Amino acid sequence: MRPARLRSAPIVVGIIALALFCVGVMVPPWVIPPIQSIETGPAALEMVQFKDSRPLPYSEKPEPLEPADNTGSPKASTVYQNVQVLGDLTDAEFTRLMLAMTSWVAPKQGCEYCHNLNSDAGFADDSLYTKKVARRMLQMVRYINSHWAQHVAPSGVTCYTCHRGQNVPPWTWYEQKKPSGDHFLGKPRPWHLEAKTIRQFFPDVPYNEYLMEDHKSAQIQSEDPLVSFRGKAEVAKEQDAEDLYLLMMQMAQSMGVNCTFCHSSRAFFDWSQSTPYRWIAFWGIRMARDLNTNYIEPLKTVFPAKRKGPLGDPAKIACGTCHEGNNKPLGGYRLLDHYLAGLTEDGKAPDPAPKQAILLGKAIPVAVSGSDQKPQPAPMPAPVSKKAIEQSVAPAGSSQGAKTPPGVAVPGGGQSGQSGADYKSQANPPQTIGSPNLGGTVTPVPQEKNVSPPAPEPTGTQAPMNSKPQYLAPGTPMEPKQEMGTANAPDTGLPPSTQLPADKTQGKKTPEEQEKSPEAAPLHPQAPSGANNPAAEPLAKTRVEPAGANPAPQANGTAPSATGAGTGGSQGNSAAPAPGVAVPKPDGQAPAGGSAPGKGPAQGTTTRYQ
Amino acid sequence: MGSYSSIYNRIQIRGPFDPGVPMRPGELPRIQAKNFSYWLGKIGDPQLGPLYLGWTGIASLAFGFMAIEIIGLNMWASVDWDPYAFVRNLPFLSLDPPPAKYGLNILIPLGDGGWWLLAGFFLTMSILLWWARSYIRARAIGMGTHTSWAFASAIFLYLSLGFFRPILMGSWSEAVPFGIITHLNWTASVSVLYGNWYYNPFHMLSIVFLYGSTMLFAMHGATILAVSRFGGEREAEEIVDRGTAAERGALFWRWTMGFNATFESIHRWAWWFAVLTTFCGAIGVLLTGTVVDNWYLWGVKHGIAPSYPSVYPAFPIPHDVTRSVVQ
Repeated sequence: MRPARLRSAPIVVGIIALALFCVGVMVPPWVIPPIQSIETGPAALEMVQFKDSRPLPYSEKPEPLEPADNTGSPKASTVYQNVQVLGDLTDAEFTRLMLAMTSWVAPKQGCEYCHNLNSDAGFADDSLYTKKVARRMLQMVRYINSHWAQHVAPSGVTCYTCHRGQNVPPWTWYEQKKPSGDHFLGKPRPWHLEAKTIRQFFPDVPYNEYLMEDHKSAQIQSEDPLVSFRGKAEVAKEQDAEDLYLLMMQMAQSMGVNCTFCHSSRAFFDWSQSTPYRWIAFWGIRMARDLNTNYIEPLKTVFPAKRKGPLGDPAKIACGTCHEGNNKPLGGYRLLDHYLAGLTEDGKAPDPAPKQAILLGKAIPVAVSGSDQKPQPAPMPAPVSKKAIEQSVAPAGSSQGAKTPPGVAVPGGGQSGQSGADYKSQANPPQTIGSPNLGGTVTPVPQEKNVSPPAPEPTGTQAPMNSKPQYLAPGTPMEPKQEMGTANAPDTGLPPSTQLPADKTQGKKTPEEQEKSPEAAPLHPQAPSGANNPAAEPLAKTRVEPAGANPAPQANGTAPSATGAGTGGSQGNSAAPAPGVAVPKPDGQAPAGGSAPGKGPAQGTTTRYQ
Repeated sequence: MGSYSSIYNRIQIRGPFDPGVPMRPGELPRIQAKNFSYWLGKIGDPQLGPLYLGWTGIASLAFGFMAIEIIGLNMWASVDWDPYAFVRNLPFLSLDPPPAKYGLNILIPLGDGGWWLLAGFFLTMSILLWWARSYIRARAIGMGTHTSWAFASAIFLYLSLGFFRPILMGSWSEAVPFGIITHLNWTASVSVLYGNWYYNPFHMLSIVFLYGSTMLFAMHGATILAVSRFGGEREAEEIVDRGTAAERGALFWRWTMGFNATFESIHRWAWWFAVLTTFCGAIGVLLTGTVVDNWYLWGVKHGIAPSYPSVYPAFPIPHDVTRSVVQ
């Protein structure tokens, strides 16, 4: 080796390394700081959502059109022919909605995207497939807003929620080929050459398996530590698990959140450790199934081949179709409030009560860490911008009461709606929204019952919470169910007809034995300490805090866990807070026991044990 | 006595070409590439060769080539032989095991997992032959066989994932696919499926030994480099005749943490940590689905999964979440 080469070699290597470093910094689409992290669970579980400052694609928010002047305006059905859905709107309101739809769905093509104006019938002509699809989609939007309020309240949906100014919503899915014996690989892999992120490489197969009414079970995990007495694993097949994993990853991507937005990742199946947002997703999955099966799939006879997938199905709905990377579509932008007359079946904004019952009244979406946690505020009406009020919805003077009192800890607090735990805009809408009197210009015209036959209420397993409205009415306290802990390991809710089969494995106990036994009950996540809790009643055993480590609170009988009323924040319908956890009651009183002198948690630290 | 730098050494030892110990009768000839490499000298010994393949090495390479060929061509075929798509999507392409309906059948249509079986067979043969080669070569030089048994521990994990556990579970579909991202997907979904492997005590042990291995490696490497100015890189001499390098290294650790391994025992520490990493992992794999169904609930049962306070208000659970045991 010549000495000159020895001396120059490090320089050459250094330059090459620097060049590679620059390429690595400049070429990939890096996430740009600052990245906001929001903790949404107890400390130590690392339930954190990350948000960066990049604007999401398709996040432009359209301005609502000027309110229509309904005075003296005839019904649309008397002005136009062949108005099947919106016939009871006034002509002015009808025209306004048509213009809005055009700008939402076909801003480039205009009216002629759906209406064949060259035909003799003019606007009434139904020859274009786009018009038939648009009519069905209009019915679907009205159905969603009036029947799936659990998921879409309070903002509701409009055409723009999915379409975002595109003819076809940017985020859809098609059925994929099933694997077959002569197929070269076990699974079809629709690799997208245009994929930008790793998640976009994942196949769409799971959508078809989980987002239609005829769906696979998503309950893949065993609820039992050990395998069955026959030695058989009691879990789903690994391929099913992977498919569900892919579905969940795409769901998380659709909303720009992590698994931990809804789940505690250490026990995905366990509702008692999940966040209330899992309810919203639970409703959303069922909504997607409903819409795909009853509204989208039947349109395959209408769509031309170029709009259909490889198996001849129309582009269908997934979580991302509306969410587009935001846990609230368009950041919770309430565009629907300006078009209630046409885009709902009854002229009323989606009822936020079911969500409130789950989320708002008592939700404290940040980790409780110390006594300085502010009491949860009572639900406040959502702030409505002056602009919106001026435009059409609320009558003048209704903006009072929309302000959040200073010092009240509204969770999240951000305006953007981007933050994971933010739930401000889910507060009560102003009273005027949804009332029959919408302020003059957009008074909904009474709809005939059979103009658009409303779909039946979801029943059976599709019914959210089995449609028990007493649980969902706002302000109703969660009824404690006497015979079972509710939000705990799901074995507790089994009706008698579906008891677990006997499991004769050595060392395993039947559920009855577990209830009686002082041994650890394997089905209950917090059970091991139950043996040390002499006061634990059968009800209380479902979630017993590890109180055995500190028996003093039970000795004096003041701890909630000894009363059986509130053994943990996840104790089913019980509204009582977890012992030692600063979850205030809705009325703002201090939690029983948690703040009692001498028994409270260590200040400023997360309380794990009482 | 060299002064060893932390990135690479500026000193290169260049002696006459060392042909190695004499061949034993009946062995194939070595590949005598007599060459010195300046750049290899930066990271190791500058002498290249001689190389001994032998029949085990030749067969191992041949089987390995077949396995890689089957996997690669299957992946390429899955993108319709498009070279651009193949390169771009390579991390995401996959050769999957047979679906569950075939059970443990080994006569499976090639396109439905048969190729996976073939590739797995050839890859396993290749690895086992390479293990035999490592054993035979160690004996031929008169070494101990520690390397082979450490390698065997890793092979045990490999076979547990792809062979033993699928047999115990009664289906090839339980095995890991060949593919970069897809085997990671497999890992994630199996962990979730069996209730969170982080509560698997053998997974815990495996992580302990893995992290411990890295720590021991860093401690040992740093110590030897730090005392190389006193001749510490001559570890063999220092083991039997403690010189100032060994004494200083030992004193450093006694001062630092009150105890020191010796120049000899640190290698046994490292060897056992490395071996136990994969061995414990394999035990954890073999217990999953055969004995334990839900590691999280197992952890609850045995008191290793603490409960945390709920920071949300109580809410009911949907009724259709309750179910009988398995779909």
